[in-house]
Amino acid sequence: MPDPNVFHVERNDTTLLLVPRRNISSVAAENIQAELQTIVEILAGNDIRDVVVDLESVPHFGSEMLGALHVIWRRVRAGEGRMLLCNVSPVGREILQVAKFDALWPIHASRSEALAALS
Amino acid sequence: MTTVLVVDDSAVDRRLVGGLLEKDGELKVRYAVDGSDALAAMKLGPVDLVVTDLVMPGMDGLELVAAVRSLTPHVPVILMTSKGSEEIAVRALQEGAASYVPKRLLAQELLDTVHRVAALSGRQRSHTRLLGHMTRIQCSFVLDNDSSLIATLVAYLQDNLLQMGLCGDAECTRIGVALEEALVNALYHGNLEVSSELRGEDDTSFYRVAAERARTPPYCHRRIHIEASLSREEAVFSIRDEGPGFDPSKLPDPTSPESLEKVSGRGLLLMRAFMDEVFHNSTGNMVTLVKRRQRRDSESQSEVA
Repeated sequence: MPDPNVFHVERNDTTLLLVPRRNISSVAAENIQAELQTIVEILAGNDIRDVVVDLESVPHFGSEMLGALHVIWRRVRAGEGRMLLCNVSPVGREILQVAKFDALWPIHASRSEALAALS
Repeated sequence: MTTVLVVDDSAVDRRLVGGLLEKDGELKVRYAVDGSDALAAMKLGPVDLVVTDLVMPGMDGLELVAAVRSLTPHVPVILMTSKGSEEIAVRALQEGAASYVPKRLLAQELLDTVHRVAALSGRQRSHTRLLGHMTRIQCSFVLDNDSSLIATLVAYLQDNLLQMGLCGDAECTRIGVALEEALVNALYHGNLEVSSELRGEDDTSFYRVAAERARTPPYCHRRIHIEASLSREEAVFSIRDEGPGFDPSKLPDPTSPESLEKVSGRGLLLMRAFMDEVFHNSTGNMVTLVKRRQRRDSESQSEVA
C-alpha cells in the first residue's frame, strides 16, 4: 500500500529534507493537519535547524502547498534557521514569483546545491 | 483497403505471413526485414497496421512497438511470438502493442486478429477525427466537500481544454493551477467558512477547523457547483459554493510589504495571474474564470490583410 503522507521526510545532520510527493489540495484537511503537526514537532526539537524542500515530484502546486510550506517556514524562522527550495519547475517558479514567496525562500537548482548552501 | 506492414528477418516467415494476409482481398501487404527497415517503410507510404516478429537483429519487435507508438500512435502493432517469448510479449502489450499471435497459430488466428485490430483502430481514428470537429464542450458537476476529487476534476477539465486545442501544455498547467485555487477556495473558505486568518495563528489550526467543519452541519451539507463551457476560442468556468460569500474588494493586497509574510490571498492572486478574467458575483460565493485562446502573430496579421 503506498504511503499516504504528502511529505517524505529525511534527516541530514541538522537539516530536515522534505520531499512533497503529491499536491496537498486533494488531501483531506485532517490528514494534512496530522502530517504538519509531526513535521512541526520534529522542528521543535533541538537538533534540526534548517529545511530543504525538494519539489521535483510536484511540478506545479497551489496555495495549499504554499500554506503548508509557510507553516514549516515560520517554525524554521523561529529557530533562526533557513528554508531553501530546490528542483523547482519553471511553472513552480512562476507560482512562487506570483505569490511573492520567491523573496522569502531561496531557490536552488538541485538538492545537493541546496544542502551545500546550508553547510 | 487496409495496408499491413509485415516485419520479419526470416524471408520464409515473411512469405508465410504475407501469403496468409494476401489471401484476404481487403488487405494490401508490404514488407520490412527489421525494425529500422519498418520505420523507413512507414515514412515512404501510409501503413494502417504492423505485424512484426518479436525477436530480430538490430531493432527488435519490442523496440519497434515503442518507436511506432511514439512516431505514429494511431498505427496498431500486432506481435508474432515464438514459444518461450511470452514474457516479452506481455511487456510489449504493456508498452502499447495491440495484440499478439503465437507463430504456431498463425494460420488459425492471424487474419481474425488483423481484422479485429484494424476495425478497432479505424473506429478510434474516426473518433479522433470527429473530436477534431467538436465546437463546444459543456459540463456541470456538483461535488461534496471532498478534496480527493479536486485533482481528478481539474485533470478532466484540462483534458477537455487540450481536446479543444485552446492552449498548449504549459498554459493548460497554469489554468489547472487557477481552477484548483478556485475549487479549494470554494471548499475551505466558501462552504466550510474557514478563515485564512487562522493560517497566521497556531501551526495547524486552519486544518483542524476545516476537518471539524467537514463533519458538522450546516457546513458539511454544502456543495460545490461547477459549470464549464469550452469552445475553440475561450473557456469559461464558474465555481459556486453554498457559503455566505465574501467581498473580494476587502481582501488585503497579498503583495503589499505588510502582507508579504502572510499566506492569505495567494489563491486569488494565482487565479488572476493565470486567467484572462476573474470575477465574482455580487454575493461573492461564485467565481468565474475566463481564458481566451492566444492568437499567433501570423493569424492576427492574416486577419488584418
